Amino acid sequence: MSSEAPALNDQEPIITISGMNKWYGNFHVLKDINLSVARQEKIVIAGPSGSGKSTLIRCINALEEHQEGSIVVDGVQLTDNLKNIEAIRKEVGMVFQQFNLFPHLTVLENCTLAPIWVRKMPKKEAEEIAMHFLSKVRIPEQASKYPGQLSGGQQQRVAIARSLCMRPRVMLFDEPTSALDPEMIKEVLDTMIDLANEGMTMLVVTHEMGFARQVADRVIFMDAGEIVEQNNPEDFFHNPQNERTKEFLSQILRD
Amino acid sequence: MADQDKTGANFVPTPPRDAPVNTVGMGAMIKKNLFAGPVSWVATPVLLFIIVSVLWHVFSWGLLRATNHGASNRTCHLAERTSLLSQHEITILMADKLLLSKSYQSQDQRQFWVDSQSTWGRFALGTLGFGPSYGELLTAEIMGNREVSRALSQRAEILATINKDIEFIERNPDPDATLHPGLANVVAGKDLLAGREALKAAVTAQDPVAFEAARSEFDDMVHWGEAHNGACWTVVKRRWQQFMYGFYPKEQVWRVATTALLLLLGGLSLLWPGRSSASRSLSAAVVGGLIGYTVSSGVGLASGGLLLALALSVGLALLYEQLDVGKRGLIFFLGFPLVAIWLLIRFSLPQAITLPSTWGQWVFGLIMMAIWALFFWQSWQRQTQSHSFKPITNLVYLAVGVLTFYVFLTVRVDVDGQQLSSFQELLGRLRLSDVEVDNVWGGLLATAVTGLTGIAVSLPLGVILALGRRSDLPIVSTFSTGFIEFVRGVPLITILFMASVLLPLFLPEGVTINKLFRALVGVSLFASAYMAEVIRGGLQGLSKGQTEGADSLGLSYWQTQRFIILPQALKISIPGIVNTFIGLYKDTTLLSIIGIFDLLGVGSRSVLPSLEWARLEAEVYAFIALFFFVSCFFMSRYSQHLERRLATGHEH
Repeated sequence: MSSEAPALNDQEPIITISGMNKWYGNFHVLKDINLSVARQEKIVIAGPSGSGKSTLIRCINALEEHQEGSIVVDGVQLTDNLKNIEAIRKEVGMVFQQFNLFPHLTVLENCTLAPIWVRKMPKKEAEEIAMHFLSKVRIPEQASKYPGQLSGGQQQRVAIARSLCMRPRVMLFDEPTSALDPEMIKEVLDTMIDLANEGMTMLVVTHEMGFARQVADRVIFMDAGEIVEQNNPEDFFHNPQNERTKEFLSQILRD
Repeated sequence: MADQDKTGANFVPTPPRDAPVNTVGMGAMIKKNLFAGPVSWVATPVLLFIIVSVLWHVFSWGLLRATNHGASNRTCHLAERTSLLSQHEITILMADKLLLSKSYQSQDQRQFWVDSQSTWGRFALGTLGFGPSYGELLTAEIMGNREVSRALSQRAEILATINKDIEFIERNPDPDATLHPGLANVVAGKDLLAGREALKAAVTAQDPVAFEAARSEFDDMVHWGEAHNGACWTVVKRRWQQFMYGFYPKEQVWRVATTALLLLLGGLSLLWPGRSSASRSLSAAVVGGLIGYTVSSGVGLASGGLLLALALSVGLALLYEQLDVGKRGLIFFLGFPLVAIWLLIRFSLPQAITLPSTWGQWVFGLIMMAIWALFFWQSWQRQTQSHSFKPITNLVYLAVGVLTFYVFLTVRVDVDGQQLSSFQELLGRLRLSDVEVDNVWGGLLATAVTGLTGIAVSLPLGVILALGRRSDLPIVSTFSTGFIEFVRGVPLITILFMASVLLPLFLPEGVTINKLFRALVGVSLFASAYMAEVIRGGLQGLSKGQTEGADSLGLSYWQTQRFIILPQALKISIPGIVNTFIGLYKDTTLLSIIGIFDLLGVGSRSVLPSLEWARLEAEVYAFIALFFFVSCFFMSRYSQHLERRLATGHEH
């Protein structure tokens, strides 16, 4: 995927967020966020609930609009312009906590819909690509079933495949394992680890600290709408600088 | 096995066993739901009795005792009146007999009366004794008896009516000549009075045998009358045409029938797609054949033209059925309304089209054959690709093709001394007159046109209004909300009056729009407002995640609505949508108030006021109600079928 990007841009960050602020009405959710993501970088965003971490990644593909500051994705400035928004969404895949698969379409149709209508791909090619990615997430045999007939873990893997079919340059994960039974979390995490090993740029909001240790290039800790601390996983977990981070880590790493 | 312990061993699931016998099956269901406790032990039989007796009465009135012959309501009334008159005659004669009896005092004579009285059992005099003062008692009793006095006062009137009925029936013979034998007896002049005289003579002569014989004649009449005093379906049979087509010209009615058949063809293939291809081809061929036949007999095509029309219509129907669902839907929704309007209102070919010369026909015929061969070849290809050989389809294709070509080129028809080919004949006969809409269309035609147009318009319009109401654009959402709230807040009858009375005032002079069309617009807009709210309910039933999922993939707003949101929202809303459809369909009866003769209007304002069918309200309204019930029940069942068909496992 990264090979498709022009070589010139390889050194530039793929996402640059600078001075970004967001309000819900009068409630200040994100305060002065500055973040740049390099190509192929894997970032895990952690923090207590309500800290704005989901909102942050949802701003990147304009599911939420921000009021101040700028977001640039792969050289495209995110504005109110629908064309820019659609251009960015084509390049940015997203996986949701609740999967958000389309229950009235089969697994295969879920995967081919966007490539056919957004990328204007011929149906046959779209189906080949879909089968390729379904094999990658290890459920090609479920292609003709409906999402309602699959387990939660399988649904989430379909959701990952569905995003990948658009050949995105960046993948956003919004708590992808939080709605799953404990037995199914591993199969989804394994899929994500495979994806990371292939060099996909990933921003992952998650509470799975094991995943963060294993995969992340950088861990970001957020609280009250601000980035409190960011560091590589080694230093982040063993040598946190901020008191708030220490408190958070002591809460979640008790056992 | 109380302390079951599986630790240590490998876990092996216990095999499942059947549920206890007394908890499953019919017996358990009956016990649990019908005879659970003392209350239901009482309530179940009582309710069952009420239900059964109501159903029995309806069944007996509507079927067992019903009449459907004759030419007017007199046939039905005759049974009722004959029965009544016979009863009266018997009552009067009983009284006569008892009055006479006071002078008979011998043992024999008294025995005769006692015997005959016990066999009669109709007149409750059993408590009276035969003492010396018996005569006086009896006279007072009989003359004061209400039944007797009523019989005496009504006899002459009923007899006169019956004679009028008979006279009328003789002057207007039953078109089907299916007069009931019992009634035929009455009509044939079997004199009721003669029977009465015979009975009277027997009384005077004190002849028990003659008396019995004469009385049984009357009894027969009473029984016959009682067996035929149910519903008078004669009215539906004789006015069938009007109930179906209103005042559509009789000789043009085939145009309505053809339109209905076309609708059936499209409906069968679109609403019931999951059938085997053989069944689909068969139904298409049958309906196609019916269309060809209806058109041919309607325009009066002779053998060659008939064959050509049959071949063409069967062939076209088969071709249509061969297309995939999307194309069929497109052709149907764009083509059918145009064809229907053309057929129903203005079924004439443009004057510019003249009868083609022989050369023209050859060219046309060859083009047609080429198209035919192309379709056949395509079908053949599909069969070889999917390795499913369809012998019947191929046979029909070949037969239709050959027949068309043969008839087309060879058969000549003699029309007014000219030798015309079947094609020329077909074209020539298709020049027909225009049919007015106002005051001509009526009955089921008006009802169905309004109902179906309302349904076809209100669904898409409702979708647009529902999306509009949820839109972020303030003008769009204000307009949609305003429209919905206004239309929903006004009674339909007001809208119909507005369309029929107010609207013409606003039109420029000389411009007229026919009344049915104005009503159609009113009904459609009204239903759209309701539909919009039903669909909005469905839209709100979807989680926000669906839109976000689609957005994150880069689908545009309209793509998201078309592929993700609407299919699911409409599926959730099916019960509500069908509810609105049924409501709309039944609301079409309001058209009769603004002067359109819909099904109800034909019944209440054309059939019932006529003298021939007076006093048949029950039959006419029962027929209309039954008709609406059957069509609405069909819609309801279909919606349930659709819900099952569209189910895709557990919904979130």
